[in-house]
Amino acid sequence: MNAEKVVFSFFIVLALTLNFGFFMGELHDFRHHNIYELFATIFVNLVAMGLKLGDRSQVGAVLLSTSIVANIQLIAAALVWGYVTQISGTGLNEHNTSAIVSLAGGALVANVISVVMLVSETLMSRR
Amino acid sequence: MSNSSLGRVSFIVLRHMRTPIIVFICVYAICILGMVLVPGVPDANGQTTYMSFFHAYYFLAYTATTTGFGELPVPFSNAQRVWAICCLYISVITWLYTVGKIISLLQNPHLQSAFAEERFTRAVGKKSRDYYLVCGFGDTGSLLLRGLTNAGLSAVVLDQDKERIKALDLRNYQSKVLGLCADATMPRYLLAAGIERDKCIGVLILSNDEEANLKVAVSARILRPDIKIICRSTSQENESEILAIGGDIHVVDPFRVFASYLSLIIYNPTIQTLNEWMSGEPGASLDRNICPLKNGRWILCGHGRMGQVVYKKLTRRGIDLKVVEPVSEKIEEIAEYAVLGRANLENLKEAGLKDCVGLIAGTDNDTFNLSMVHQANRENPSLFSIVRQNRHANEVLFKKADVDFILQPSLVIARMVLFMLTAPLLKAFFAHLRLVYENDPAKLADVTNRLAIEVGGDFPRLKTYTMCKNKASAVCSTLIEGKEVSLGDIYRSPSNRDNFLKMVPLVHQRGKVIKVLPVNDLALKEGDDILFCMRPAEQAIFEANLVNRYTLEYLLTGQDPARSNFFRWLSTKKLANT
Repeated sequence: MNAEKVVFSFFIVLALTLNFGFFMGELHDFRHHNIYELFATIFVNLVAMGLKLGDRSQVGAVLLSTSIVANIQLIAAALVWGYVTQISGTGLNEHNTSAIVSLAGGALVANVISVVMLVSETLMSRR
Repeated sequence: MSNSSLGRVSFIVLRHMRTPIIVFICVYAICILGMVLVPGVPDANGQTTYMSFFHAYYFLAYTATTTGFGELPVPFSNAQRVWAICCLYISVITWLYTVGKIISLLQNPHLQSAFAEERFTRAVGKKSRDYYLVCGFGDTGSLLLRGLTNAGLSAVVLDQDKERIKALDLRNYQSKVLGLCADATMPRYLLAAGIERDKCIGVLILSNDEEANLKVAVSARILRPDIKIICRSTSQENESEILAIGGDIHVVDPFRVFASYLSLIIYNPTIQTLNEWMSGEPGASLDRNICPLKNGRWILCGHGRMGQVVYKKLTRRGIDLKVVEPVSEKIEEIAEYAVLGRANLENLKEAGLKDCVGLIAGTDNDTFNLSMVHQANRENPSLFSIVRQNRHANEVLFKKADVDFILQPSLVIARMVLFMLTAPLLKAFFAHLRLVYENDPAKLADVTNRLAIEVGGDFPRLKTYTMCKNKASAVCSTLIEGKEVSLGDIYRSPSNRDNFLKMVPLVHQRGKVIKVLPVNDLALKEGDDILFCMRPAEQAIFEANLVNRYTLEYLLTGQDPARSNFFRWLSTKKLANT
């Protein structure tokens, strides 16, 4: 067992699970989506991205890019949330809730790709 | 793109189309002018109307092409109708004449060949992979192309025979092979085949015409002083002339290659078996063992051009040989070892069929060779028969026949050329094996056993790897850091470094120093060439070993290196603390 692998996989999988948790529920109903969960998702995704930095293999490059995609989408979702609740004053209505959640859904896809690559690379090495 | 051939196409088109185009323009002009000048139906004021040029042209456009619209701008007057009748006949005939000319032009063989050349030149110009230029697509050429494409190499073909080029289109090669029906002795076609491009990395001249081969070799050398040329030649004089061209040039003599294969079979069958196994001959396996048949008398049927070379080679090896040959001039020099006459049962018996160990049916007639072996086998069932197969098309017959060994000169040549291209280091390997055999035949079995155990299976793949930045980036950067990489490390299995991949390094080359069957402890240096013999399935894994730093690090140390900056920082921290 390799401590690096444990930490690395932990963060990548946690990024996916938290993201999924936030995404679950009715698309336009913010009562089903927890803003603290979004915060946790962004935090874990950023950490996962940090752990991926510096890997010079091909797989490492693709893993890093999926993380970047996920982070861009999640931060965009957070910005939308901040704008509607703090600046525009419209509050969380159906339209902007669905925008926030669907952005998080996009990030979910990137996280799924990331996990699939992690698992397949581990299986390929057969150790 | 060559301007000359494009110029030729447009020249042919223009020359053939000049008359029709001029006739066409004149007829249209006359008809339109007539239509405009002929008075039409008077208008409401009683004024005579005339057709405008646009309407006249419109009318003619649908009449001349026999489309025949009913839509007329204005009803015609009778005068216009008369002129319309004239127009109709003249213009329709002109159209038919023009169209007929176009069709006959498209069928013009010169134009077709010009088009084919143009297409070929363009396609060659677009080739992005390195390719060989193959002149002559006979039996040897087609077998060689099969091997080349299977090895992932690309080629373009020039052959004079139209039927062969058509056959080329129908072959199911792994990648498309471009072909042009052209005489390769004309330098123009060599240029069309892209000989001057950097992507062209070799010229293989394989036609049966000695003169033509020499010409092509000379023009290829003049056009590209640095290119590799492999040329087929069967005569000594021609060979020395070809070699005199200089540069990276090799001559393959089918007769001599054939003779040395034959002597290998008789004198040293283990090497022959190894050779067959490496070339991926169907059914060849390393455990097949023919015992050496060098003791005892052999009969050679046919003392023609090939037979003479075989005779010389085998007698030099000390093999007792008796020749049967129907033409007396051909055996004048060796009369006491020869029987004059056709190779029928009577003459074979006279040559000592009863107590000989083997028969070589080496005439240039396939049917004759087969029937001879058939007869001889009935007389002496323990006979070892080697038969020469001249034409690839007769493969079925030979497979069915009761023959111990089939030797096909075109296949032998194709294999040899293929090895020269894909695994040039193999020559050193076989030279070493021959030396081993001379000194200690038992050691040869060790080599065969090692290959059988560590590679095994059918159809092994031979590939040369250069330890350079492009092909083996991980190895190179590890070497630059001053760490040692030994030969054994790079082909360990990435799933468990205690095991090795199913492959054996055959030859290692550093500069001019060549080591056959190098030891695993050998420390690699940048620029080394290593020829591996491996199972095809292992190739991808092995290539990943060469380029992936992390995998290589594991293979070298058994430890997975930290992959990202954070973990690297952490591990240096840990090291500092302890």
